[in-house]
Amino acid sequence: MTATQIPTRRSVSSLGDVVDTQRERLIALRGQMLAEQADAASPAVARALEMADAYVFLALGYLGHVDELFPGELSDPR
Amino acid sequence: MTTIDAHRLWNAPTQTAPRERLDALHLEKIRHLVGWAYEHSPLHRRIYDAAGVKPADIRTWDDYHHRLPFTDKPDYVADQEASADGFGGIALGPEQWQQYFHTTGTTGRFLNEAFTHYELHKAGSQYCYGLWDHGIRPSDSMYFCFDFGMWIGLWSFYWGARNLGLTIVSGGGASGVQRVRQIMERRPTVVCGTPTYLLHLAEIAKREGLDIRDAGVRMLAGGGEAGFSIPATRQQLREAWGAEQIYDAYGVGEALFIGQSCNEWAGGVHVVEDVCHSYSVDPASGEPVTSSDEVGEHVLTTYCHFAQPFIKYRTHDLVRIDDAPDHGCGWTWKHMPGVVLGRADFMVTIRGVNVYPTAVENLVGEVPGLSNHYELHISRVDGMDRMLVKVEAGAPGADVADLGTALGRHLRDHLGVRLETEVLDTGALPRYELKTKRIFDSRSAAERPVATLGGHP
Repeated sequence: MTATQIPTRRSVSSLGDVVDTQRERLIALRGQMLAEQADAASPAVARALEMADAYVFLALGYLGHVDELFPGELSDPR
Repeated sequence: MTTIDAHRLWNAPTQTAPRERLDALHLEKIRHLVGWAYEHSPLHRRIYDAAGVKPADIRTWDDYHHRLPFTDKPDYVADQEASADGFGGIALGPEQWQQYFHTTGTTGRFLNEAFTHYELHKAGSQYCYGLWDHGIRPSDSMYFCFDFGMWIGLWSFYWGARNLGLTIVSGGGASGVQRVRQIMERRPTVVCGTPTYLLHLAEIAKREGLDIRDAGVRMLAGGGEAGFSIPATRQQLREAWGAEQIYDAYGVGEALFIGQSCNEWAGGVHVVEDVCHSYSVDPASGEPVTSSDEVGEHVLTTYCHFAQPFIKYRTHDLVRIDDAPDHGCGWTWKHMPGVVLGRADFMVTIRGVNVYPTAVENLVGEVPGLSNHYELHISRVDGMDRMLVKVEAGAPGADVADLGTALGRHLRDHLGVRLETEVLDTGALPRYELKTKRIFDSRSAAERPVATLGGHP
């Protein structure tokens, strides 16, 4: 995506301190999982972590995460 | 505003969030999604370019309502027919798809749909809010009355059951009698089907000398037809099955079941605002409807579908939307009383009176002696709309002439116009396993109501 076409995003979500804090923790957890996926010892491990990421992303959605629409969006798979 | 225990709800942080916070989240998601679609879906880029709109122009609700063009099924069907892979409005290629489906073709044309792995799970989450609120927990079970084919609605209900952690019992490939026996044997907490088919199963059980109430089913759930929101049908279902809870879900094939009923039945469903944005417009002008008393055409943007985005998408369903419901459930999410009140393209004007098919359906259920099996036949004769209401009698040997008179009088008293009526013997109308075909509109496309929604190319 290009900066000229996409409105500048900012994190507006504040669903309360408890929710926001858990969201931040899950974002960090997700970063660790994606790093493990990149270094996976086998396709089996990589795929399992990819599926786990979908579930973590679901949790982020419940917590008002708006920075990404879906897992993998920002890596622009096309 | 009602105060409730947060853990009684599936996701209290958003389900009870104030309207301004929800709207802020929606606007962020929509702006992001418009950018995604513009960059990755050739169809959306064409539509937005033709309207002279760039994603960066969409900054406020006024921009969304007045600058961003509507999208509609014909846009996707035309793109589908022009594309090599047979799909319209695609933003992610087939290498990302996990499963594909098509809509039921209610409006005459199938729309092919592609979903990624994540999207299946996200769509499944839609059901958890309402089921959880009704006290359904992972230790419960759900029986599916259907064969799993290409229609997405059933699959999404299945994803919902999996998402919540229910034990799933499939009635696929079984006859009606076999399904009744499976239900009696497995004793599921929930049975999922259309209201018509569930009543049909109760009839089969009776014919087999079985009392389906002995299965101990607590909840009947489903959608696809109006019956789950029609009081008379709800009561019939409750009595026939001995079920405590009747669960309604509303959806469209493009965004799935984005409306779910709460435990405090208030005659409709809540919009699941974690998975979509929903509002209504005047079908003639495209202007947002601002009163919760006013009927408008439902327009939605889904957050479950990115491989094939649906943004500011016309559903053609006529709804009322209350954006500040307070009927004791604690949800702050919009509520649609009466669920779908009709179709913008099925609306009939008889001697100057707008008649919505759902209003007729509700009234049919109020006439003693009639069954829940009916059809509405819409036609245009000498430039005038006409509606013939065909209904089966409730029991063999009934006086169909008397019932026809009673039906005609009841409709006239409540609608203000006289409709044609025909009462048939029991069993005369066809039975359907999936969505029952109730409305037969023989008017040509040119004769049906036209809703251009200004600004759409």
